[in-house]
Amino acid sequence: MNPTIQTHNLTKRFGHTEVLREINLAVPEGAIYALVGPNGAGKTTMIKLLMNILRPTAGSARVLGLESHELAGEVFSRIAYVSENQEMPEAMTVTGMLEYMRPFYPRWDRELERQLVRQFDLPMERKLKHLSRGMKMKAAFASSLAYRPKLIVLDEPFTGLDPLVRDELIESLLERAPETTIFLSSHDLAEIESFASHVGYLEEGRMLFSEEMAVLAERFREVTVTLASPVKLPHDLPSAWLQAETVDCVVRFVHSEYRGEMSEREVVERFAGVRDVACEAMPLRSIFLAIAKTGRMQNHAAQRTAVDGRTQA
Amino acid sequence: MRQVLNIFRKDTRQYWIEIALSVVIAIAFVLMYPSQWKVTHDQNADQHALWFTALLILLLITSWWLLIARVILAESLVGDRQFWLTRPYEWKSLLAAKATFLAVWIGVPYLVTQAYLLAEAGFHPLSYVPGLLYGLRCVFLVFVLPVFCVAAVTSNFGRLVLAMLGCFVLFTGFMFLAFGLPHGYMTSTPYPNALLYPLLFAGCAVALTVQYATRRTWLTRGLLMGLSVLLALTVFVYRMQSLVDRAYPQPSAGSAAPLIIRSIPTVAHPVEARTWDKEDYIDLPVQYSGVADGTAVFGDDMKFTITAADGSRWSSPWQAMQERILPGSQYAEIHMMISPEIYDRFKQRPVTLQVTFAVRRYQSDTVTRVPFPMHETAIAGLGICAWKYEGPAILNCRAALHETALMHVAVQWSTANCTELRTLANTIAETDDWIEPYGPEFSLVSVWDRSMMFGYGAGDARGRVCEGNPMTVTQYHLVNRTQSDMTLTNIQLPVEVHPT
Repeated sequence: MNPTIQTHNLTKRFGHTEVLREINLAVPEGAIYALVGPNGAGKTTMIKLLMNILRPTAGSARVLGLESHELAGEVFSRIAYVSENQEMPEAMTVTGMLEYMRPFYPRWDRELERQLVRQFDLPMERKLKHLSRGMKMKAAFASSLAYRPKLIVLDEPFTGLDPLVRDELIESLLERAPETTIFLSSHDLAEIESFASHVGYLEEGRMLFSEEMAVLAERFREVTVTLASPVKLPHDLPSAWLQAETVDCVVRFVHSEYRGEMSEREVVERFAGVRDVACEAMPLRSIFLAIAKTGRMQNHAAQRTAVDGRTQA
Repeated sequence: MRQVLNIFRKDTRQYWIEIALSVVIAIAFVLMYPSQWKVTHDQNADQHALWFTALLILLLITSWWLLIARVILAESLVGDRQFWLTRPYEWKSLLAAKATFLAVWIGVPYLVTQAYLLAEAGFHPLSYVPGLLYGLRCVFLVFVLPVFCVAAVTSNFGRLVLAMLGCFVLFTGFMFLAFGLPHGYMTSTPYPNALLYPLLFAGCAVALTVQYATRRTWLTRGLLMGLSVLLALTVFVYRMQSLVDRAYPQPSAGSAAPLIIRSIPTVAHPVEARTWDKEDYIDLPVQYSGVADGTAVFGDDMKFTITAADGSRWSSPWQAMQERILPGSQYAEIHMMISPEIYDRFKQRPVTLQVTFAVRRYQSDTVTRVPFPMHETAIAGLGICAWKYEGPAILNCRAALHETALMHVAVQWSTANCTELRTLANTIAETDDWIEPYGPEFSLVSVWDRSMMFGYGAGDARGRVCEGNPMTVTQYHLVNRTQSDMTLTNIQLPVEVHPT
């Protein structure tokens, strides 16, 4: 089965600033893919490249079987795109906007539209510019879901929304999930953890990983090693061991390539006098924090090395 | 098509206030404009009406620009946050919808109001459909398309206004450089600029297509800048000196000279030199003659060659002349512009001065004799005319869509009161005026309105033009453009150069 979205070394530079660097990802059909990362990581740029709003500097992306630069016109009747900072036709009423959008979409479902309007409790005769942020987002959702898109792309859709509105929107999305592929970006891990099937982590323009949530959860473990006597951490720890630290006789780290007994054996072999090895499953938030902190430490170390190198030169 | 109509309906609903504003101004304009030709005999009222219609024209154009800005920016092509970018808009449909909107809400009201104006002026609009469409085409090329292009490469109304102001400053600067600088090397334009409109249309069409198809804004901006440069170049090229030589060829051997020009310096009218704005001017009194009856000659440009006895020589570029020369003898003064440095080289010694004139020769066609009309009367070639004011009598004529050709209008005036019997005895003389085409190819207004003024002396000698006084209207057509020479040998140019 062809992935709904696939990128190959997707790169975007604005002048000398590299915003995205050689991104490779694949979003299978039917997936709910969450692209997460801190603010400024490049998530919005990534989505704009996928939607042909921006053009890549290098690399390529395919969406619904088309090169991203071919996305225009009719193909958007199969794609829904909602962004937190999208400029809507503010002077239109909700009714006016829905009436205007309807003829663009051959598969527009009037019944679904009515259902969404009821579900979101939209004030139909109010202009968009007079709607609250939450209501505006609901109106955008209603106008984007009513034509049963094959792909729903959401850029930080829940940012700044109250929990009630957020839950309503997520619920409406999940109702569509069986018939569509959802690709959304967020910097809030908690909001996507409950329903995303796949996740990608973007930091400073680099994709640190992109995989299925279940595999990710299986791959990461918080390992606590209890030793007979205090030990100094060796420098040559495996690269898959993140954030290693030691307190008295206890060594803690995050194992990013956990493979059950094999990994535990590896731990026992690495340290002398191991009394106990505990491997705990990690919540998504902890996994991301570990990855993010490690990434930043590595970046700082690389920058320091570069500065030192220049100083010596 | 469905998408085009959908976008068009949305825009019409959304911008009905702007549409209504533009239509109301257009209606106000066509209701006011006829006051320009209506006989009121009140110069003040007419002046106010003139100002008001001028203001309405400005408002009308501004309302068009506002409409264009609003409708194009509704689906702005610049930026990455517009909702429509990820909706199933076909670029061709979007462009067609915007063009349809402008055609329906600017073009149709323009056509309707201009047809109304024609009818109000006494012309049947259906007889002038091609002319009305030509006017519409010109309005779109001059007032709509450029703003459409600028709106297509700007992201919001504020930036559009700034861009328009920038364009206005550049345009004014260019016009000042091209036409406003006080230099004498300005020639008349022998050819209409045949490239201007096609280039403007093609350039704008390409830029809009590229922008709507690809949204590569910087590329489109580059195209538009290139287009502006090209248009400016055509303006300069069409004023090039070499074009004057091509447009006004030397007369063929054996052909009769269109006129005779003699230099006639006298004690009362000597050759004089003056300085103005860092240039010297030599004023040469001349006499024109030899213009055949039934013809008229228009001097457009002239150039000078000074040759000294030692063989040193200076030739000027073509300089503007703008003189109307009629049958009979006519005295005038021509002005040679020369830089002070060059003039210093020649003024101390006798020189030969050759003057070459670039002239247009006209032949009279039809001569119509009609009684001077006090009330609206259709006169062949002139249009519909009526007497407007007493004193220096003004005859106001209006024509449909196009300017009249070159015309000479002569009226006899008399010392008799208009109630008295007018006889040859009290017919004093004939006064005349000319109507020369301005040259522009179109006007925003479908009715061309021209006035002729006839002077009558003053005080006791003041005469009158009364209804029924004989009036002769002579229509001319262009025969050819040619050159004519005058050579002055062994003349001494003035040593003293006076300030102007």
